[in-house]
Amino acid sequence: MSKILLSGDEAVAWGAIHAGCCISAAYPGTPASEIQETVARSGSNVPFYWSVNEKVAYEVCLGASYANQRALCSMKHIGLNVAMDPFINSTFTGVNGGLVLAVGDDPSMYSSQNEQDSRILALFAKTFCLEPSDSQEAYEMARAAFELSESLHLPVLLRMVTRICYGEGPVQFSPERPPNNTVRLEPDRKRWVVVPSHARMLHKALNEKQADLAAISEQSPFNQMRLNLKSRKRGIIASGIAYLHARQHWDGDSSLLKIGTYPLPMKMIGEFLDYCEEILVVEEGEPLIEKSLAQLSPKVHGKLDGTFPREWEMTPDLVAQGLKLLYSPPPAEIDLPQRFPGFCAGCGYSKSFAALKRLGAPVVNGDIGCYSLAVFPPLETIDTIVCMGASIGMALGLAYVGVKKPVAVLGDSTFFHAGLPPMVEAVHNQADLLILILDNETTAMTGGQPTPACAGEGVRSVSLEQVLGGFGVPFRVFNPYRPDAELDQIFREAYQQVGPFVLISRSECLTEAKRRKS
Amino acid sequence: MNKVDIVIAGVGGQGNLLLAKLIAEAALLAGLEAKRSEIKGLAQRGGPVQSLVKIGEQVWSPLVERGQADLLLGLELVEALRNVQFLSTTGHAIVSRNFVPNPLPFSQSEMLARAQRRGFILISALDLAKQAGNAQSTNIVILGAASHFFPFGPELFQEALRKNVKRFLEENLKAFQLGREILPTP
Repeated sequence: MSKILLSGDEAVAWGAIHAGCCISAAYPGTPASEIQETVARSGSNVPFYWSVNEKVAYEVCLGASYANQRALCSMKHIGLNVAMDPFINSTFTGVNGGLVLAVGDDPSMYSSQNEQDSRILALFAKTFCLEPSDSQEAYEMARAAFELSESLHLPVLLRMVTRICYGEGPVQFSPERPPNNTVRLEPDRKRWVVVPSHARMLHKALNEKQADLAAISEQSPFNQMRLNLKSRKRGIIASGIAYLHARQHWDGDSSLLKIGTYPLPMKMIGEFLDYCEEILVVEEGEPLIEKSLAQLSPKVHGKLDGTFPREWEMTPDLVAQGLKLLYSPPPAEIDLPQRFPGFCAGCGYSKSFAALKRLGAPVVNGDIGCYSLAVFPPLETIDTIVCMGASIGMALGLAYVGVKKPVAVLGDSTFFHAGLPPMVEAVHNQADLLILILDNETTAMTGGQPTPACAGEGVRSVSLEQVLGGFGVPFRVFNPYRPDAELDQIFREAYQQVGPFVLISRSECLTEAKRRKS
Repeated sequence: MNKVDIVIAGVGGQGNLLLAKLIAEAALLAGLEAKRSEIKGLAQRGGPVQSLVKIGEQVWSPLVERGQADLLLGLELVEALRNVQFLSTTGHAIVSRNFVPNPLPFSQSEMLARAQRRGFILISALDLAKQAGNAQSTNIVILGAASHFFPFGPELFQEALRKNVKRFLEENLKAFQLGREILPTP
């Protein structure tokens, strides 16, 4: 079979399918959404679930893994914070069927609230991590990750970055392994129940397993060392996509160590460190590899000594500077007009935000989704954005300390993801809040994945009205395309209520509607 | 050898990603390696969109370095100017005269003057696309004009078009041809 062009996300999905993956679960998040999108479109019959949040997605995969099924869980880096609870405990319990957690980090924050390095979280959880440098490796590592997960009985983290997820390169498939993991449930309470008496033993066992992880890393074909036998002068250690940036400038005079697995192959690194007089470390994210060396040697250069910046993505330009290569790009154009992203033309969200702006509430707590665009001109309506669900939680805190009627704004998918617990608290404490749920009947920002309120074959719509009615919170549904004067009255009336009140702005996502038609 | 580094600059909805895909696929058909990199998400909502394509016998990093692009393809004037640092001294900038002022107004004549100072090859891509029968095909007009600067013939782009474009295929093939004819074969 000839090579085909695939993005890293697509390559991971196909790697999982060809590894006999039995189930896939995810919550959409840029840049990782397209992993499960690919599973969905693949025609492979691998069942897939758009879970209500990343924590649930991971638990779905863990449950399936206990029943000896190979499971693929995908999310963006920030999603792993949400899934951290089951993830870290699952390294105590271990897994049965291979469990691969593919995480898309977003260096430079092209579409994210922060940049964090998931390699660190894999090591924090004391499990194995693979870091591909291109689509081919993403495919191969996804396959290898299932094998490793089953041999180690640990979840294995596949650390992607935006440029891998969305970068497209040639991929050569290898023969498929049929999904032959039969459902087999053999309860093992000493492993699967983390009560303290069990967990103490499990932690000990996990620590003892670390030597196996290190040994696998030393032997892994994903780490490659090329020593220049003629010169010891310089060595480059690089991992993931940063390896390709380094490879682009590699002239053959330097020794080169490519890293693809964590925990790090410290013996190999030690040998490299001894061999080379100067070492440049090129990695995406935190100086993780560098920190493992820097205490040992002052000849190491990277992010800690200021050779490279500590933030934002690594580029081949930066590598060239680090290698002190002659470098003179043309001058940039200065004073170009700035271009802000904005709502799609005619979006109902922008109507609701315009009304909210006219209402003039003292503080509007925003959330994660398309509506974060209301931060930019001309709307400039949102005062805080922290994380999924934080709009209601932070509005609660402001109300508790006496701020007059804070507003919380969040989308339908975000409400199901992380808005339910703080909504319960708001009702329980009868906090004086206005909560605006923007319901466009989809997860729009990430490409139109379904929400729990979506109806469809074999699924039941969970109605926002029924949920809110069950909570006992008063609410009003409105169409944001009504005339401004009517919208203003709806907002004023809602704002005059005492205690929590919910407005639901309901209008179909226009982009999603267009997508459905074409 | 056969190396072409390409930066494609525009705003959301101009067919930036399709243009990148067509170039990568044509290179693959020519037996070359191709890598493509793009940014989605927030950038899609009317914000700037930049695609990078690198083709050659062997491609390592998918990112184009500043000062190294052989081609800067501009679907929008201001975004082309924003990406000018990528262009190499021997490279060519093939840029649509089209401009999208959203959300802040600016002087189009000033932007055109800047583009001319930079030696951009300015193309009335929208007029040619309309002439081809589909105003959405400005990206394909630019592809046609750029097709002179690749180490393979136009037939591979046409094949990639047939493989990837279902709607308005005839109009797009016409747009490609009109774009190609606007520049003399170098």
